[in-house]
Amino acid sequence: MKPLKVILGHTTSQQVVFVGPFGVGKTTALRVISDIAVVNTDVASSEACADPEAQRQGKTETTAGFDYGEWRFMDGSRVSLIGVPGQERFKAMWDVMLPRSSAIVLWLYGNREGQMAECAKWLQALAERKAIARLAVAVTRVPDGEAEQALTPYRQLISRYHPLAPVITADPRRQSDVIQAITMALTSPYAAIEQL
Amino acid sequence: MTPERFGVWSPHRDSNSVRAFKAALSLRPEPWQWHEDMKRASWWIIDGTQTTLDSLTSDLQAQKKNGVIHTVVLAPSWNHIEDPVWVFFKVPLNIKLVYGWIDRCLLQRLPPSPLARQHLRLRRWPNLTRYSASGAPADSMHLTLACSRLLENWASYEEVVAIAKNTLLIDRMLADARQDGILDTSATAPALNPGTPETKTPEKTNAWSLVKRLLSKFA
Repeated sequence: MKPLKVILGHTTSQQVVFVGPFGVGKTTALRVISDIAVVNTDVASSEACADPEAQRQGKTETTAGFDYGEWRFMDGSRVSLIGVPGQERFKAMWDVMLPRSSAIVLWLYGNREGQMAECAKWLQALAERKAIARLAVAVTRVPDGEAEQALTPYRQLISRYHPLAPVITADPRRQSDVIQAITMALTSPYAAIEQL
Repeated sequence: MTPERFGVWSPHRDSNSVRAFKAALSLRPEPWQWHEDMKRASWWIIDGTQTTLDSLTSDLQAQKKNGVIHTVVLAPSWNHIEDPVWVFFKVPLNIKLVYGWIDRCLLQRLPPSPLARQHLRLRRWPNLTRYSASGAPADSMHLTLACSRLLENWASYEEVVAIAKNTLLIDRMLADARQDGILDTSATAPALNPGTPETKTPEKTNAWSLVKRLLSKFA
């Protein structure tokens, strides 16, 4: 009988992490780009019943652990694609996933009240975990023709943490938008931000 | 009358083939404008199953004196083409072939960029999803790399065109960036300001290996 190969730890070398508020589209974005069927831990959500935006989208589930997808490359290497739950009570997951990531995409709503406070809360959470330097911010649900105007307050806020952080409008259902956000996070030249 | 660069005309606006071509154009980043008057259009789209090309060919010869006209015949077979001045596309359309042909036509007519031989630098990231309408991840990635280079330090226009690989896309992005006031230009290569905080270039990071693999994956 052939002995089983023992593997300690994770077999992928790099990981891309999606973060953002509940229902913004992290799981959708993951499904759009993953080479494998996304393994998820969605469960029925009581929050969905209370959130008008979630009700409008017909969203009845939320991610309780994390979503997992993968990119598989010709050279045999693999990259983990991870969506972490948006609710604060799951922040132990953020502590585990964020420090090890190669790129982080923060998905934000562009069309609801309190969106800037939400953005500030996420930026602070990322800064506390030293995860700002490899960040791209993707703002969803921005009406056509209003992108530049809508992005200005996000840029102003984010520049307090990272002067060159990429901020774009994006649709998590579009593969090219998701890939672009990740590429921007990976290639953004960044100033020294140790003071954070 | 000089035809407009992105003006489009068709005598068969209700044809399914022309509608499909129109839909393909609308997914591109250029500002296409449909006209009722053929004299205002640089792009003529003909449904080859609905007409003979004789009279249109003579109109075309007359109109070509005013500027370059790109002419397309959409048909199920070559039989509908009677003159080599027409470019044939088989229906149903292969979008990649159509886009490739349009790109080549646009490049042929591209006026020299006002930024040629200039040195450029971006002050912040533009909203790059504005330029990903074609939906090709590789195009978006190359444009992103060009922007990253311009954020990192001054670079010549020719260098960023080589990185972006798509002249139309990078020219459009640079024009918007200039209008938005986030593009610095200089006729000579400026020295890096000693007070500028040190930046970590993508090439020096582990992330760069992932970028290279993604480029080969989506090329």
